[in-house]
Amino acid sequence: MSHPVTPVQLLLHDAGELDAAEARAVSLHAAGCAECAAQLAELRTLGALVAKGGLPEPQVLRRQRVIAAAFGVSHRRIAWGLALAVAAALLFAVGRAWWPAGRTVPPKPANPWVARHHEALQRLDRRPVELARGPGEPGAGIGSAPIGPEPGDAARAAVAKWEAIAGVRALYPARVPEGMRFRQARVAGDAVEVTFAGGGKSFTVFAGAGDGVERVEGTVVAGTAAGLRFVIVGEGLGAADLKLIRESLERPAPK
Amino acid sequence: MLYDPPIDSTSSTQGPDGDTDLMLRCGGGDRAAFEELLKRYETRLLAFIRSIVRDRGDAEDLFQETFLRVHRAAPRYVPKARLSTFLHTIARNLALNFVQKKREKPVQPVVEPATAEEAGRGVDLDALRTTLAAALSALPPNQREAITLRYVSELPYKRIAEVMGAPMGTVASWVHEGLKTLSPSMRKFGPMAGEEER
Repeated sequence: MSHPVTPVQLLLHDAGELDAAEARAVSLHAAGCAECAAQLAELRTLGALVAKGGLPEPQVLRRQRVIAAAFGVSHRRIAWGLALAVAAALLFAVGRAWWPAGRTVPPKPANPWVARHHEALQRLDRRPVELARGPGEPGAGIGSAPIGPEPGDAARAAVAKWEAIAGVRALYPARVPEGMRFRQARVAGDAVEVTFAGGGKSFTVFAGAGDGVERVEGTVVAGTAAGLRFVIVGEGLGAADLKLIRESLERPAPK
Repeated sequence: MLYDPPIDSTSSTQGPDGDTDLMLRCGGGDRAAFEELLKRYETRLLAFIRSIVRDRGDAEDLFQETFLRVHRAAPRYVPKARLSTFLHTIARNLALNFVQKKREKPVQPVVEPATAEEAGRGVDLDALRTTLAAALSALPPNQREAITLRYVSELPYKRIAEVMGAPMGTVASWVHEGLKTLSPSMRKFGPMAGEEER
């Protein structure tokens, strides 16, 4: 028997998804058609059985697992993090092994002025200053006399030569800690770096530090001598060493 | 009427507890909103994924992946389509991709065991689930998906058509054909049909 209404129309009508005209036509027909009514009833029953038997049980654990995965740090991320850390450590170790012996990384100062000074020295060609040139020679004039605990005339003379460099006065303390020696002086433009070392310790004086450079906590110490400010970047220095250096710097510059 | 009205009414997602609102809150990192969404869609989405992959473990994994995708997409979510459509579409794509990769592996129908509470109600849910799972499993994929989306996920035909990318009439036809095929094996659960008519 043919019907003006198809089962698909019945389903859509039952779901309320037919347009108004079609819905009216289906309603009119279904109201007087026992076969359609029976068919619709069966489809509804089947649908209800599917709804009843097809729905899985909700599980708190399942939801917790999803939430943990969404909001927690995943195991994969942890694994990646560890792998990256190991790779970084290996790179660091290889880098250190490859780094030429004796090549040191200058300590990074906390003071902004010292940082700028450092950068200038890194950027420019850090030429070792030839020592023992005649006094007053441009760009050099740095005395070579080792500076002992109690500088003698030679050291005083060296100071004078240092002071021959424009803008540089009293580049190192009148006294250095016991056992330390002047190691090297380097210039780059108007930046000057003087390093003293000995007994596994070293410290570097950056000359020309401008106003406002004060004591910096940690390994950097600022002091004054005859109105000139010094900044010292030390390595392996203890509190006693720093105190001695500071006291030395605070002495009037030798004349 | 046996079923709840279709969730296509315009008001269902607009209120402070609506899906869209929850999703937007998810995008802002609101964990409680995410939990609420998860709770709302847990069983429906899982059933739908099962209707495609037909393996309990795989379905659970894909269900989790679906919600992880939702969580990741939430900050960029623009409420253009209904959230239910959005969620089912994500789940369907994941499940179909999975099936494509894992094709030809024989699958067992997924049967959900009845809980003690359900067993106490006198409804032979285990039998119903076993029979239904077997019967659904024998259906062509389109019919199985359409029936699950209609009666388990309770999506209106219009939304099912969007999720499955087919015309609404075709989807309704798949549902009808599928139900007709299921009918003989489901007849023994007649008492439920009787309940419906009371």
